[in-house]
Amino acid sequence: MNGVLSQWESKPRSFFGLLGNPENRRIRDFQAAVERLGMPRPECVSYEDFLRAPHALPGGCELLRIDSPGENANVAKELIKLGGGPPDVTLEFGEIGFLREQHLGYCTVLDWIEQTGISCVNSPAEIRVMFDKWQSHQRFVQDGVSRPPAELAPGEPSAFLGFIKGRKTGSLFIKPLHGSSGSGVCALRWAIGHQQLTSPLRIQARNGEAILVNSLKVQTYTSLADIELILSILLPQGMIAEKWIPKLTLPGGAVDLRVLVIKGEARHWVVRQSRHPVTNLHLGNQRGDGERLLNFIGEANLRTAFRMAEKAAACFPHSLYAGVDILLDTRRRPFVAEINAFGDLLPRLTHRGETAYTAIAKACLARLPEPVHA
Amino acid sequence: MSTQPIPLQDFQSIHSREEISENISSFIGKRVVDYDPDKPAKSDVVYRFRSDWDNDELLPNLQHFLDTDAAADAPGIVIGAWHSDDPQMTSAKVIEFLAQSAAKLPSLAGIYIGDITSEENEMSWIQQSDLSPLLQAFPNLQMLRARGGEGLKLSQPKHAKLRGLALETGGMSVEVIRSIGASEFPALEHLELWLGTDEYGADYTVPDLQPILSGARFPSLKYLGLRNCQAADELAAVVVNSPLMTQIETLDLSLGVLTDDGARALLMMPLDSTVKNLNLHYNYISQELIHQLKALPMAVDVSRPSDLDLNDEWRFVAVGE
Repeated sequence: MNGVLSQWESKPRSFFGLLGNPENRRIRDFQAAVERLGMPRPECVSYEDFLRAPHALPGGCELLRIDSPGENANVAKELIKLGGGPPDVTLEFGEIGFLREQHLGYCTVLDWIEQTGISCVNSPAEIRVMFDKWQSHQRFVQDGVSRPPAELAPGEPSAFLGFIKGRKTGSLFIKPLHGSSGSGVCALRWAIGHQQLTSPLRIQARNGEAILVNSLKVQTYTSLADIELILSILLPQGMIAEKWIPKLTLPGGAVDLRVLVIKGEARHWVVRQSRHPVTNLHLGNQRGDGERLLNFIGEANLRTAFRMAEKAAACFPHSLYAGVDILLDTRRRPFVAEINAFGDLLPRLTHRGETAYTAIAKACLARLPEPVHA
Repeated sequence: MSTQPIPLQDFQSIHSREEISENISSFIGKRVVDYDPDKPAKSDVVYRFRSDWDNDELLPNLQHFLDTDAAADAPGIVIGAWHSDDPQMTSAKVIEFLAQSAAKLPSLAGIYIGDITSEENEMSWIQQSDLSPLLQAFPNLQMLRARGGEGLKLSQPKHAKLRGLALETGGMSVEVIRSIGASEFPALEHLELWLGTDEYGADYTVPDLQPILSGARFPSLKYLGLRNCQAADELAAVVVNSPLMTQIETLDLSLGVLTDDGARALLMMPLDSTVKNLNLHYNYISQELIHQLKALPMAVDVSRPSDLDLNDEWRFVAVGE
């Protein structure tokens, strides 16, 4: 233990509290990171418990870290119910459904947290905005953050399909307002006689009805009927339509950057490379070579990209960290593709010798005005 | 202005499937750099000119470059996406502009029309046009490469010195294949055709390739690439009987749907074949046949991307869309 950290050894047991899905590696890894700093393992309240008893937040903790409610079917079900959806919905594994209700349910959870008055690493109000791509977009534009031109897509499929058919060509990214991990993200391109939608999803039948499920393999749909079907399921769930800015390509494919901004500073970053338009790393894409990107675009351009990520994170001043996805156009100009409240899952990646979770935990400690027990 | 002959191996730009999804970093052996009018122009690199999603600076930048001293020594020109926000726009205008500017590019040895990634446009949606004006305007041209099959034409396939011709398509029209079959390219050493699939405009049949495979038209040919071909098996069966097998050094059937049938055909390569390199990168060949192919008295590339599913009942060429 070095001197910088030893002063925290006398912290009360419950400095950190966690809210998340305890079975998720996000929780385990963060707990381990805190323990490695010589502090007690933070207690985690599960979303499942919290949804049952909204007053069950870790009592007496100094600072609550709100983690992702994702990847848990029961939590999704409860959030949908809370958000005004059907009381006992059964989603297929990976089904893209009730995104709006799920989001509204999660907003209620964030309200509950806010009402407790507990200090949070990232403010519930800002997490709410980060989970709304249209609100985030407006905030970015207002603060001079470079964004692809974007519009709120109409929830009515016929209106959107009419828009597409009224233009002879176009290329758009259509993203769920309240989605994550590339789920439901569609790269749509059309010209006279051609149309194509690329997305990590599959069309499945359930009781004679079409549903969409996440696919680890990015699929390309070229028939108008398939594309209309997909959009007619996605659009009512709330989508943003963004200009598809062609990404810079390097050996291995198109690149974008995930930059973790902690306390205003671009820290951990990873290059994501893909041969198809959706670059999320779990979709068969690979971490690219940062050194190679640096050599290719030069230090000044990389620094500009980091500054853009910091500027995007600064739109959320009450959040200690955020994962910002930066795309570079063919002229190497940076644009913010999106901001992720839970964009800190970057296993094994270190910056200045610290993993992302260690860096966040240390930044939390440093944020305190004075040691609690002098 | 004297122009050095381009080494034969530098005619090839794309070796592996992975390289299709990126803009090229070298062309005719020179580094490719996006042209920046704010920086002094150099003549030891090849500049790429393209329009972006939010501006259309291709022709102004090209004009800017032509007015610099470096233009006279420029070894090559790469034209990227010319269509800005309209993927329906053809290459005719930029080809016409280049052809009219030939006097300012006396050293030009290589032209690539269409260094366009799938981020910018799908290969089969790229609207090409007649490449012949370039052949006529640049009598010292050594290499002509183009990407995109729609609208592609070689209305006057004739050039005394052209050494390399590469046409990358997701589906090649029979018209283009016939043009090449009737062409006059006596100096041609590198002929690379991406034949594609019928889904994306390939309307030829393998017999349409006979005039090319007869070899009579191409006395200097050393590299024959029939790539990205859905009918690679059928093609292989015909290619091994071509007189070119005792003339060329490299046979490239990569990026297509080549299975054990095609591999068996290739094992029948004539004993007096001059082929030294057999490129079968991206293939659907079983281990057993790969073993046998490797015993051929030549270097055989049977590499393939790790995500290629050999058991998939649908087998795809590397570039369809």
